[in-house]
Amino acid sequence: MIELRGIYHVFTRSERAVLTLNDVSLRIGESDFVAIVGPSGCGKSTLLNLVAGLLKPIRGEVIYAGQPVRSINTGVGYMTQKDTLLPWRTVEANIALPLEVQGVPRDERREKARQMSDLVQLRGFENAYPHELSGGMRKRVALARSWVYDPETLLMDEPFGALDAQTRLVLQDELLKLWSRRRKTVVFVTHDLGEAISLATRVLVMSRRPGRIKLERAVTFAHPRDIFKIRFTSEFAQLHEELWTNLREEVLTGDGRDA
Amino acid sequence: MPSSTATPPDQSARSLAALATQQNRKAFHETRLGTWILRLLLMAALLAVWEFASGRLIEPFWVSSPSAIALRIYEWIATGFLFPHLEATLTAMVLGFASGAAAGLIFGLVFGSSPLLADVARPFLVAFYSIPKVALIPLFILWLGIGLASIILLVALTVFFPVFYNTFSGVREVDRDLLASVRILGATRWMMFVKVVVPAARTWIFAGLRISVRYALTTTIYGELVGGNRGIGFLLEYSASRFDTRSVMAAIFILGACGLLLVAGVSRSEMSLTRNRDNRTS
Repeated sequence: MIELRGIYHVFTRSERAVLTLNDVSLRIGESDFVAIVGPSGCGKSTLLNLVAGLLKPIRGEVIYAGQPVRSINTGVGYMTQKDTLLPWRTVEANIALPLEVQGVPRDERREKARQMSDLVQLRGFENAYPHELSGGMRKRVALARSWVYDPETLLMDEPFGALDAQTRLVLQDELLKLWSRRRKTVVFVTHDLGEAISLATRVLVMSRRPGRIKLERAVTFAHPRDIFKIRFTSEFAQLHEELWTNLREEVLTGDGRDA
Repeated sequence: MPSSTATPPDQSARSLAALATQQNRKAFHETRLGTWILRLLLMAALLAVWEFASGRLIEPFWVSSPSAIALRIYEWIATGFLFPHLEATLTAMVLGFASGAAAGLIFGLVFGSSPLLADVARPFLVAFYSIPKVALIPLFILWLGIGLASIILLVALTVFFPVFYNTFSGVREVDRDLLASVRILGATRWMMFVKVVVPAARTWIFAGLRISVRYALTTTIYGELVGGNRGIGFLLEYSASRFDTRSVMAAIFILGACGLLLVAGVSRSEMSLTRNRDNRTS
């Protein structure tokens, strides 16, 4: 369980301070799949970094599993926008890295890495290097790496942002399959409202900077969902319409202000 | 397993790939052989011109001749005269290189990981780096006398800086995102160092080593010219003082051969080291 209580965060760059988060409070329950959408620069990623313990708020508190987060939060897995694969390691060695850090014996980590790479359709590529893979394949490796060691919570920061539309759908499908297998708490940041609604059990809309939670909606479609068809249902369209109306104001005014 | 969007390379694709590499290899081999033939031709032409000119256009006293030099090298090898000198040079070079590189590596890794230490030490390092190392030879001779020890110290110092600076920069350049991503897995500082920092800095470190191998040879010879009592450098100096151009040229040829072998050796070991490291998976 994750709780943010009255978070303010300030980002400083060369003497200039910018308020990025303005009194954000929020609770995320176990096995929730929460998607956060908002205009760019609204502090979505900052929110994840706070939960991960990579950043500290100037006021407020982040509580993770009953404990305040004061340093790096190793209870969470983090999949960032940029895939942070180690270029000198093979696919399998990259996937096994978290297990290696935890001191899992060699045979066991090989076994788990293999299983995981099968799950995300990487069979046959275990010995390839990241630079030999396409963007979508690299994302699969990153996805496998973040799930292989079973962290209680997974933070995902626009993980599929840079992919083409088809590959994106396929990977969203993989993610949902993984999630139905092992229900983790997922906090998923995206700028794509459609992606948020198709994946999440709850969608939060953030305002433009300084970010706060503007709106929250439960997504009640049953799981498992068919990612390829869900978009064409009328419930989806209604929810999308409602959320988009709110998001659009933020995106439009946000742009105007920044320009 | 359900059918996937990502198909592993199947058999026919693999044999096609094999065919492609075979073709590539053949072409590569051909050009390589061609290059070697051209190189040998060039060498033969240069030597022939030299041989012809010597005694006809220029006094052999100044330039000797390829055949005479070859004979001298052969004499040195046959009588065993060359070996103590070669041994002295290689010992000084190898020991100097190894100790200087090891120190540069260790300091580079430590300073690179500690911004405070690096900040404090920077002016001292820059000042020390700016001193031409050759200027220290008299001091080393005062401390350690003429001979092997002074030369080793000189070589070690020359090698230290490029290795140090490269390792240092390599460590500082490590992608912060990579570090953060491994840190959040619960890695200790030491683990991040071993699993991220060192492999990431590897190319930089090798670049430093490659540069400094050449420095090591040059500096060894320099040290022997100025303050040696054995070694190829000493042989050069000694022959020149007796106006024995032929021996001077012979010594230079031996140096050239040493240099070639060294550079080839370093790139060979670099290749095998990187390959080993990469193949060692989880």
